Amino acid sequence: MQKAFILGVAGAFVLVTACNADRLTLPNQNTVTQEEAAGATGVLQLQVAGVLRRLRGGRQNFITTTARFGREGYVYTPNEGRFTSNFLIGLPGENRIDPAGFAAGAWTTHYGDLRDIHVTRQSVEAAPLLSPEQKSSVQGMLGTFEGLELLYLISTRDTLGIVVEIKDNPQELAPFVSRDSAYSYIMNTLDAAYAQLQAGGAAFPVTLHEGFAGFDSPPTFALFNRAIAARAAAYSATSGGGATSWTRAAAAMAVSFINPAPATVADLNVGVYNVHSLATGDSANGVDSTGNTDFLGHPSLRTDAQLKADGVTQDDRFTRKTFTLPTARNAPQGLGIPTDLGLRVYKTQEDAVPIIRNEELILLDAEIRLATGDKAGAIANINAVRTISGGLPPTTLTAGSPDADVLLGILYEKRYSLLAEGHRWIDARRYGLLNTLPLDITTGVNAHFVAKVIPIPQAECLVRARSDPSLAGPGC
Amino acid sequence: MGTRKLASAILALLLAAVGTVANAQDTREITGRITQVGGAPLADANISVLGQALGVRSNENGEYRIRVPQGEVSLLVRAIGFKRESARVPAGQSTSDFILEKDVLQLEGVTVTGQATTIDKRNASTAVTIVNTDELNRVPARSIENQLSGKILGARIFENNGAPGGGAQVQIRGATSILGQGDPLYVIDGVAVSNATIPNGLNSITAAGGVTGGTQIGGGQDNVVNRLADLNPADIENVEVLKSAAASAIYGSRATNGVVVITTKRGRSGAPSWNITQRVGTAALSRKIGFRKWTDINELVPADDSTLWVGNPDAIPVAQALCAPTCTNYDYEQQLFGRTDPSWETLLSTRGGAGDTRYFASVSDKQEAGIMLNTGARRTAGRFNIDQVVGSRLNLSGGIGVTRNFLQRGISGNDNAGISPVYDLGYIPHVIDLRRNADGTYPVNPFYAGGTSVSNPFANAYEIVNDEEVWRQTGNIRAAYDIFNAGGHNVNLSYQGGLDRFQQEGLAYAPPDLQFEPNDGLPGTAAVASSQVLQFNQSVNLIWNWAPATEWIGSFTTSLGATTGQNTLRTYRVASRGLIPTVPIAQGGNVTAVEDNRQNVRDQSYYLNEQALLLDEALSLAAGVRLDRSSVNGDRKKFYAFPKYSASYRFQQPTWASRYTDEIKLRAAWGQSGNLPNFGDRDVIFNNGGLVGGINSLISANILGNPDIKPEVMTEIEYGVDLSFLDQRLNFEVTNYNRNIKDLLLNAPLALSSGLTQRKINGGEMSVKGWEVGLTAVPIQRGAFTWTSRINFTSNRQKIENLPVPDFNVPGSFGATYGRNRIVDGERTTWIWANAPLGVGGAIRDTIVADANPNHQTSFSNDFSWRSWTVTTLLDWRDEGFVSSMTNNLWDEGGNSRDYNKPSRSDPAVSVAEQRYSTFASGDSRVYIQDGSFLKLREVTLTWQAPASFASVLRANELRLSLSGRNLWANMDYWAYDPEFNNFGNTNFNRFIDLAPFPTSRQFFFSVDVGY
Repeated sequence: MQKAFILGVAGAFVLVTACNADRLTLPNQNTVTQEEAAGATGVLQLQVAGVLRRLRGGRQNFITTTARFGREGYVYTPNEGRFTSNFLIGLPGENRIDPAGFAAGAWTTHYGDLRDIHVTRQSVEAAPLLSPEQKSSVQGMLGTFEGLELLYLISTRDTLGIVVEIKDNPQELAPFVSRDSAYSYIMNTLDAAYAQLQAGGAAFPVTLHEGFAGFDSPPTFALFNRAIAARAAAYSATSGGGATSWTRAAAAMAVSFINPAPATVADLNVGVYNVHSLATGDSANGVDSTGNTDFLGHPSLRTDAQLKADGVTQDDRFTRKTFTLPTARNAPQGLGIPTDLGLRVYKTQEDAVPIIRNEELILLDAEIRLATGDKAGAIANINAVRTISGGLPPTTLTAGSPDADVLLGILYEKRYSLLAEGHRWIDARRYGLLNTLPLDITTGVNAHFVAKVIPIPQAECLVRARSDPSLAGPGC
Repeated sequence: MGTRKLASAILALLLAAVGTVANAQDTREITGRITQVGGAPLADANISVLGQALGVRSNENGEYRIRVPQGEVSLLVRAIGFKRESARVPAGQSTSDFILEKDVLQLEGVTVTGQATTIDKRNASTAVTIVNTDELNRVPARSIENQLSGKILGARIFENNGAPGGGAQVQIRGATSILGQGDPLYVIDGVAVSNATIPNGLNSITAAGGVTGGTQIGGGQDNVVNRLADLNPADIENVEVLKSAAASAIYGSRATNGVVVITTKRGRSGAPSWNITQRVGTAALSRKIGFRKWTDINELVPADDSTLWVGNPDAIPVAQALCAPTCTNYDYEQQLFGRTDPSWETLLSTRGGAGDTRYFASVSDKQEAGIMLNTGARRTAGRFNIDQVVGSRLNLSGGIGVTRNFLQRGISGNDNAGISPVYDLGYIPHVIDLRRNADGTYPVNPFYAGGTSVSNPFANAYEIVNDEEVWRQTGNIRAAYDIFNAGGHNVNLSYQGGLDRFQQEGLAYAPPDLQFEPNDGLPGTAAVASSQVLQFNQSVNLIWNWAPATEWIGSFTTSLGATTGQNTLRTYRVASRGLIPTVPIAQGGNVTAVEDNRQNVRDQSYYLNEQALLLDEALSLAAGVRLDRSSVNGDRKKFYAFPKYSASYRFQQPTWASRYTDEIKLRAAWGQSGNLPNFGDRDVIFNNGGLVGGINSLISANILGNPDIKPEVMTEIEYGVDLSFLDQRLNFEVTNYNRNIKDLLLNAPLALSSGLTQRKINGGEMSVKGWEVGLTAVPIQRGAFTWTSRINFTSNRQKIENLPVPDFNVPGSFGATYGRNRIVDGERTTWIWANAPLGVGGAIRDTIVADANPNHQTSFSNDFSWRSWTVTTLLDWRDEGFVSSMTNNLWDEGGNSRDYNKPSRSDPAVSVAEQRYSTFASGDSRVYIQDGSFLKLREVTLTWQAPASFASVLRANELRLSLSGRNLWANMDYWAYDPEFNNFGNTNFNRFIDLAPFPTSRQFFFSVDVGY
C-alpha cells in the first residue's frame, strides 16, 4: 500500500519533470540564427566578411561566362558538353541562351550578396555601439558593394532590366526596372555611398581583407567607390546615358585612384582584389591554371596579338597570360573546336582576382576622353598601357585618326590587358561590336552565335509567373 | 494541455486505485501440468485466468500452480509456438492439465497496441505481421533486413549493394515523405534505436558528390551502412511490423514510415540450457556482367580514329604492343571479385530461470569475407536480458547489449576519381594484366578509367583503406507494479526506459603513391570521421484492465501514459590531401578540411488508449490518441494529436458460411501518424560562409527556415478480412489501405532576385493506395510429412494529389539523361522521368518513360518437413519496376560491355552495345531504363535434426545440422548485377540508380547447432 503510493508519486514526478516544455528549447549548435545574431558582439564583422565572401563567390562564374561569350576562352570539362554548347550554340535553331541552362547564371550569387548587404545594412543601423560616423562609413562601404553587384547584373542583362530592390520579406516580389532606371539607381547608390564614406571618419569599425590593402579606410575606400562609379557611368553612357553619363564618369574618374602614368606593371595592378587561399574554410581561385585545367584560351588570342618592335615577339600580355598546351584539347561530346592555348591569367590557386585596378581605369579613362573629345588624351592612355603592360611600341593612332579606330585601339588594349577579368563581351556589346567576335563554327546544327544578353533565369520567371504575372518583367 | 492538470489527474487515479487494494478476496489454488502433443513437458507456458493480463508460468517439468478467485474460473494456457488451450475449472476442482498443439501457421501470439499493452493476434483490429526467430534465422545474411526480405507482407526490402556488412532499406507501404525521414522507426525491447546512416568520408577520395574532394568530406554516395547492421539477428525472438497508421499512431510523430518492433529473447524457467551454433560459409560472385573480348589493335584503335577505346592518346603505343598480333583478354571481374574465402560465425547463448529470476545471455562473433579483394566485415556482440519478480506485485526486467562492428567495404558506386572498380572496368580495355606484381608493386594502367583519370583497380583494391568501426551499447529497464488486482480489475503502473549509444569511427585513406593520386596535385588523401549517437527514451504507463469475463463484456483495457525521448547526433570529420608517405592520418597534409555537425532533438508526448473485447471476444474495439511535441517543430509548445480508431468482428464457426469455414474476421482501422520536420527546418539562420582572406564570415542561408514548420500528417484507412478454413489449415488475409499524407515538408522556390532560393513549407498531399494478400496453408500433413506454404502479395500505387510548389526533382539522382523521380502534381511519384524522343516531331523531351514501382511483389515460402529432415525455401518475384542501369551505360560508353561482341538483330553490321549507346547519345535514355523484374531464390535450407542418440555422443540434448544458401539462383533479364541496388543507399525516392555497385554474391553456409 505504502509502496504503491510512493511508486505512484514517483511515477507522476518523473512524468511531470520529463514533460517540461522548457526542455524542448534546444539551440541549433551548427550555426547562429538571425534572431540570436541580432546585436551580438562581432556579428557585424562576420556579416561584412560574408558580403565580401559572396562578392568573391560570383566572380569565377562571371569570368568564365563572359570569357566564353566574348571569345576569350572555353571551358572543356570532360564529358560535359553543355559547358560549351549552352554558351556558344544555344537553343537549337533559336540563337538564344537556354534560360534554364548552364549559361543563365551570374544572377543568384549576386542577389545573394545583395540580400546580405541588405541584412547587414539593417545590422549597422541597429548596432548599439557604433557612432553615427562609424555607421556612415560602413553604410558607405555596403552601398559601394551594392552598386558593384547591381552593375554586374545589369551589365549581363542589359535591355532585359533587373531587380534593384531587396525586400525585407523574401517572399515578397520586387519589380523589374528598366536598364535606364537600373543605371541611375546604381549611380545614385554609389554617389550616396561616396557621401557616406566622406562622412565616415578615418577608420572603419570593421576589418577588410588584404585585397583592400591601400583602400581599407573610409577616405581610401572612397577612391575605390569612385572607380566603380566611373565604370558604372561609362557603362551607362554607352547604354543610352550619353553625354550626361560621360560627364559623371569623368567627374568620378578624376577623384578615383587612377594613376595615368604607370612606370611598371605593378603600377597597373594597383587596385582592389578578391583574395583566395587554400587554407581550410577558404576558397581557391578556381579559374587559375593550376586548379582549373579546363579553362582554356580562344585561338584568336594568338592570331590577334600584336608584335613587339622586333617584329617577331608577341604582345607581352599574350605571352604572360597564355601558354601552349602539349596537345590540343577538344570540346567533349563531339562539339569540335580544338585549342592548344592554356590560360594562366591566374597561375596559382591562391592568386587574387581583381575587382578593379589601375590598368582598367586608364583604359576606361581613355574611353571617357575619346567620348568627351580628348582624343590625344585617349591615345596617351593607350600608350601608357600598351608600352608598359604589353611591351609594345606606341600606337600608330594619332589625334587625326577616326574615332572608330581609336575606339578599336582602346578595345584591343582592354582585351589583352583585362583578359579573363570579365570585360571583352560587355565592351563589345556596349559599342555594338558583338558581330565582330569570331564564330568557330558557322554552319550546321552546331553553328555558333554570340549571345547579346544572359537571359533571366527560368527559376526567377516561374516564381513570378506563379505569384504575380504582372511582376514577371520583360525578360521573362 | 496543461502538464500540471494531466499529472494531477493521473495522481488522483493512482490514489483511487491504491485505495481499493484492501478489497482483496479469498482465493484458492489450482495446479496442473502442461505437455505438448506426444507427452513432452512444456516449460514456460503462460497460465492465466481468462481475460486477465497476468498469469503464472510452468516450470521445466511443465508444472504450474496458480491462485484464482473462489468459484468457477476459466483458465487459458498459452506458449510461444503452440496453439492456445482453455478450460473451465469448476469451483471444487483443484487440478487441470493441458495438452498444447504446435502452431505451424503462427496464428497465435500477441500484437503491440500501445507503449505497454498488447492484444492477442486473433483479436487484433489491424493487419498484423510478425516474423519469429525461426523464420528470421533460417539463412544468415549480411544484415537483418535481408533476413526479413520476402517475409513481411506490405514491406519492400532492398539491399543497397553487395558489399559485406549490410546496408539495406525497408520501405513499408510505399514512400510517405519526399524530403522528410523515410526510414521506419525501430524499437527494440521498448527502446527506440538509431538506424542512422552516417557517411564515413569516402567522398574525399572518390569525389562522387562533388569534384573538389576537399570541400565535401562525406556524402550520401559513401556507400553508407544503416546501423541496423549492428544487430545480431540470433538474439531476436520476433519482429513485428506496425504498418497502418492506426497501429503505428501509438508512436505519434515518428511513425508514418511504419514501426518495426523487435523483441529480443528472454529467459525461461528451468535449468539453464545452452545453445552453440557454429557456421562456416562462403560467398561467390553470383552474376557476372562479362566483358568485351578484344581481338586486335584495329578494334582497339580504329584506323578511322572514330572511337579511341584506349581513352588516353598516349596509351596507343602501349595498346599496339599489347595487341601484337592479337590481344590477350583478362577477366578483371573474376580477378577482383572472385574471392571465395570462408566466412565464420559462432553463436553461444544460454537461457534459464530459477525461482523469480529468468535470464538470457548470448555472445556471437561473425566474420564475413567479401568477394572483392581486401573486403570483409566482423561483428562481435553480447547481450544479457534478465527478468526478476519481486514479491507478488513487482516485475523488473532489463537488458544490455554491446556490439563491435568492423567493416571493410572497399570502394564501389559512383566516383569521379576513376577508382570505383565496376565503373573503371567499363572503360579499361581488358587487354593488360593489371594484377599485383610479385614484388608488391602494380603495373601502370595506361588507359583512362572513366573521364581522364588513370588508375590501377587492383592497386586501389589493395591499397585504399575504407575502414569503419562501431562500438555500440544498448540498455533497457522496465519496472511494472501491480497496484491492484481483484474482482476482475487489474491496475498496473510501469516505467520503461532505455538508451542506445554508439560511436562510429571511419578512416578513408588513399596512399600518395597510387597512380591516380597526383590528379589534384595533392598526392594522398586521408579522411577520418567520428560520430556519436545517443538516443534515450522513457515512458510511464498506467494500465487498468477490467475483465468481468461475462459473455457480453470480455475486457476493457485503458492505458494512459507519457513518454519523453531524446536523440543526439554528433559528427566530426577531417580530411586532408597532400600527405606524407605512409602516414594514414589527416594531420600534416597540405590541405585540410573539417566538418563538425551536432543535432539534438527532444520529444515529449502523452497518450490515452482504450481497447475493448466484447461479445464473447468476437468484437474488438480500440481507440486512442497520442499528443506529441518536439524541439524540431516550429512551435515547440504545441501538442499535435494523432488519433486512431479500429474495430474487428470475428464470426467463429459461422453456420451461414461453408462448413469448412472456421472463422471470418472483418476489420477496419482509421488512424493518423506523423513525421517530424528535419532538424533545423524551423530556424532562420546564417550559414558560416567560411574564410575570406583569413576573416571568418556569416551569410544568409539560401533556404529560408520556417518558424511555423510542423509534422507531416498521414491519415490512413485500412480494411481487411481474415479467413480461416479446414480446421485452420488454410488461412487467407486481404488488406486494402488508402493512405493520404498532407502537410508535406517541401521547399517552395523563392524569386532568386530575393537573394534566397527556397523556403521550407508544409503543403501538398500525396497518397498510397494498395493491397496486401497473404495465403498460408498446410497443403499436406500426413504422418511425419508436413508441407507448409505461404504466399505474400503486395501491390500499391503512389501519387501526388496536390502540389503547391512547382514540379521538382527528388534529391539523389543524375538528371533527365539517366532518369529520376519527379514530384509532379497529379502524377505517380514513382514514375521515372527521362529524356526520350516523344515530343512533337520526335523532339527530345524530359517525360515519363517507366514506373519504378513494380506491378506487384510476391513471395513464396515453402517448408517441407519429414521426420528429422526439413527443407525451407523462399522465392521472391518482382513484376516490373524499372531501374536506371547506369552500369550498363558506363560499360557501353567505355566500350567494354559484353554486347560489343553481339551483333544487332536489326543491323548485323553494328553490335547491340553500339546501337544501344548511339540511341542514348541521340537523346533517348530509355535504352538504359530497364525492366527490373526478377524471380530470386532468396533462401533455401536443408536441416537435419539428429536423433537423441547422436546428440548424446556430444553429451548434448539436441544436435542439428543445416546447409543453407542465400540468393542461390535468380532469373532476370536485367543487364547488370541486381535491380534492387541503389547508388545513393537509403532514399525515399530514386531508389533505382544502379551505378557500378559492389557486385552481388550467392552465399552458402553449413551450420551445426548443439543444445545442452
